[in-house]
Amino acid sequence: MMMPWDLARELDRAGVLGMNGRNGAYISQVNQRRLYPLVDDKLLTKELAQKAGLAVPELYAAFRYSGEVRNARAVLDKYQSFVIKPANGSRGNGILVIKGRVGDSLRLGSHRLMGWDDLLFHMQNTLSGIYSLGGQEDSVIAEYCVEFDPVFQTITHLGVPDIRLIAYKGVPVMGMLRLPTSESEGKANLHQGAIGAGIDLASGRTLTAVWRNSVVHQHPDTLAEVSGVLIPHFDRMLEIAAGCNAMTGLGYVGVDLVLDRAKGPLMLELNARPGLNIQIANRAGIGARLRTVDAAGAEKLSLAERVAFAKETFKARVGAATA
Amino acid sequence: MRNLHVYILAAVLAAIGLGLAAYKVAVIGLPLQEKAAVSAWEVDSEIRVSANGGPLKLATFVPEDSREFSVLDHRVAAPDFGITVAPEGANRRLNLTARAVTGRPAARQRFLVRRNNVRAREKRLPPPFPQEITLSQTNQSIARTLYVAAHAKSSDVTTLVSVLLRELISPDRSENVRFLLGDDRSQQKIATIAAQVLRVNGLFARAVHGIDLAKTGVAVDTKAWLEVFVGDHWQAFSVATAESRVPRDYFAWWRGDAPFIKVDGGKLDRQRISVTRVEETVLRHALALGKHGGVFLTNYSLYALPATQRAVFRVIMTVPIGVFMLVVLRNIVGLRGVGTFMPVLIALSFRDTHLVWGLVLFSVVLATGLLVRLYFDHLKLLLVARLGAIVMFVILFLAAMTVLSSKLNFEPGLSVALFPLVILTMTIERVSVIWDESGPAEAIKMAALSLIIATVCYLLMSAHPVQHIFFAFPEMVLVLAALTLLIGRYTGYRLSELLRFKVLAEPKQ
Repeated sequence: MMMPWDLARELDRAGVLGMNGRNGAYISQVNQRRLYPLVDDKLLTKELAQKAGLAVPELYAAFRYSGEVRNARAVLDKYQSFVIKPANGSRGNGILVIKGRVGDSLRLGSHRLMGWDDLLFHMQNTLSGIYSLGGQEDSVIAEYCVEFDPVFQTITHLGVPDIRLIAYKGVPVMGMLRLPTSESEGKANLHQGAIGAGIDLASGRTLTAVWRNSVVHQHPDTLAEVSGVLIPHFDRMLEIAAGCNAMTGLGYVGVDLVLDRAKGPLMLELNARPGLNIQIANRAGIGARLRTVDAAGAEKLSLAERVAFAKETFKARVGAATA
Repeated sequence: MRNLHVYILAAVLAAIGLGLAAYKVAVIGLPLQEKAAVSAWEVDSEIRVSANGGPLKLATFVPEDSREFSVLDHRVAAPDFGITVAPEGANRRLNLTARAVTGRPAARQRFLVRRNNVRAREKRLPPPFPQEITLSQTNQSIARTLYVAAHAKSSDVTTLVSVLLRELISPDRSENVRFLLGDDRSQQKIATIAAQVLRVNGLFARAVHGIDLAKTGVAVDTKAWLEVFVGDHWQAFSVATAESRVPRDYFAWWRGDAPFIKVDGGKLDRQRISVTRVEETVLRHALALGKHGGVFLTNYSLYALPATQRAVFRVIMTVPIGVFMLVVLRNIVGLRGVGTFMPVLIALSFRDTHLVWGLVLFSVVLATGLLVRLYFDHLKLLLVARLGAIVMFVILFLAAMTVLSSKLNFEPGLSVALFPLVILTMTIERVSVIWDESGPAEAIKMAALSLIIATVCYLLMSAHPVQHIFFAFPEMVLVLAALTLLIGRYTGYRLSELLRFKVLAEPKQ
């Protein structure tokens, strides 16, 4: 029987970061509260990213008031596919993916059908704040629906896989590929049942994957191998992530990216309080990597140098990919 | 740097809190346990005289606070007399006077004696001078002889007095002593003579009269002992043992050679002193002493509030411990319930409903609220309107339940007070939002967890020792605040995270 303090010591030795450590030692030190709206409000983030020259999914329309929602059908009818999301949503709640039409109904990413009035009701609810942090009034975003890269075709189910990178002081420190499953209903959030696969920053290849807190090698729906998958354009993703700290002023930020078939890597959203599950997906502690960045003073390097530093320093050990 | 600041602040807060509490325990005597008991003594002195019919004057003594004891609730009952109190030497005289009385008038004084928690600072009274000497010339020369003999066998004033007293009380007393004392060998006589012998030889000395509080009864004897001014204070000497101390239950009443009661214009019929022991809580004792002594921390404490406010603050002062527990559960254990401090509020409302019925009520009403919510989901209402409607139906349901339980004479059902109702509706709202945001499984899990946490909070907050500590020592909240600040800088793992990240501690294959 392992005693709790022994376990805590083991975790500490592995450089694992806990919630208190993340909040107390990093977020509260390097993320200023007044900057949170930049990443909590996806409209602001999108604006910021476009100004910085980063590719983002195209914004079709934003709805801020109840009255505007009534025109939603007129505005959105011309798009075959689009995504509806709350501007201040968290944990992937309130996101609807419309893939096409069946008669007068909308076909969702989960293959369910939905009427326009249901969609409008969903948008009204979102405006009144049921998906926003703290229940404040919210806005609704309608944007381009990503056509994900064929490399993920066999390892996802009903949704768009995304890549989460954590950037600390301009250095990407850890990454994971999140793969929707039937259980997560197309969502890429680990706590909702998506698979998380760690990524070797040096090669852009996926490492082992976790699903529901256990290690898996195959996607539970497609049975395809999820380890050792090479993510295209990974270097570009590292560059995007490395630039996000300077762009937002946040020292510790989670960057969510998707890989579009035609447009390449797109920056989806940012997170000022990125989750800690990424450590389980990588089977490595992030605390140790943060300390490495601090010790090396890596924030003084140029962007290219920081990416090179990350690839060199956080290279997966040989054989880890097949472990 | 920031950590150091927090540590210093926490240390200062904890030091203030613990220091104040320690001071109140040690000096004011507030007990750590509410039920601890202590003794006080009720003393009743009754005097009855036969009046001659002419002017009548009774003189006796009023006891005063001493280092060891406080005299409280002193009352004189003498319906036939005019009452005056005047200082006289080291004593306070109680003079009872009447112009023309017949029959057997009575007078009594009654008071409560409490032992001081901390010995009061001694009044360093300079001894009165010149001292009255009542011995005859012959006796004075005997006194000098005795003194010289005692002086030769002693090293300082204290031993000198002891040696002299031993000489006076020894069974095979010398001729000189027998001459001095005569046939009277009472403590009073010995104390008086000893004081005279010492006075003749230039020392300050006096007889002390009082009672032994350890001997309770309806007619107790007065005791006498000797006090000598040694160095800078009056030192007590027992005339029974000749030692330089008296039993701790000896309560001094008056000093000098005067008799306890002097009667002019009548005859003393009866004099009786009775002592009763009263068992009291330490708390009452300390508060009474504090009030008597005008202690600031007693007069400006929560105890000084009117009864209704006291009852409210008994509850309010336990909120910090519940809040602290939530902080520990969140940041160290890693559990969280509905809302930040909602479980503490639920625990507070359990005080009105009682635990078991409170749990039943919460579960039933919560389930009803969520069922209503489930139904409303189909109506496609806006969020705030839907929550509002849920709250209205919950209130109707509560009213119906209360009326029903009243008709069925089911007592607990009637105990729904305003506060639990507000908390209930707030909880339903919070749980509804969680249901919307994270699904029914999460909502039910959170609700159940909240009730469990609230139950623990309730048990803690309604425990009498806890209530007593935080009511008697509100400064303990500072100690909790200090601990909370420290937890605020705790960056280690939460217990739940040990489980969550366990896989990372295992070596990779």
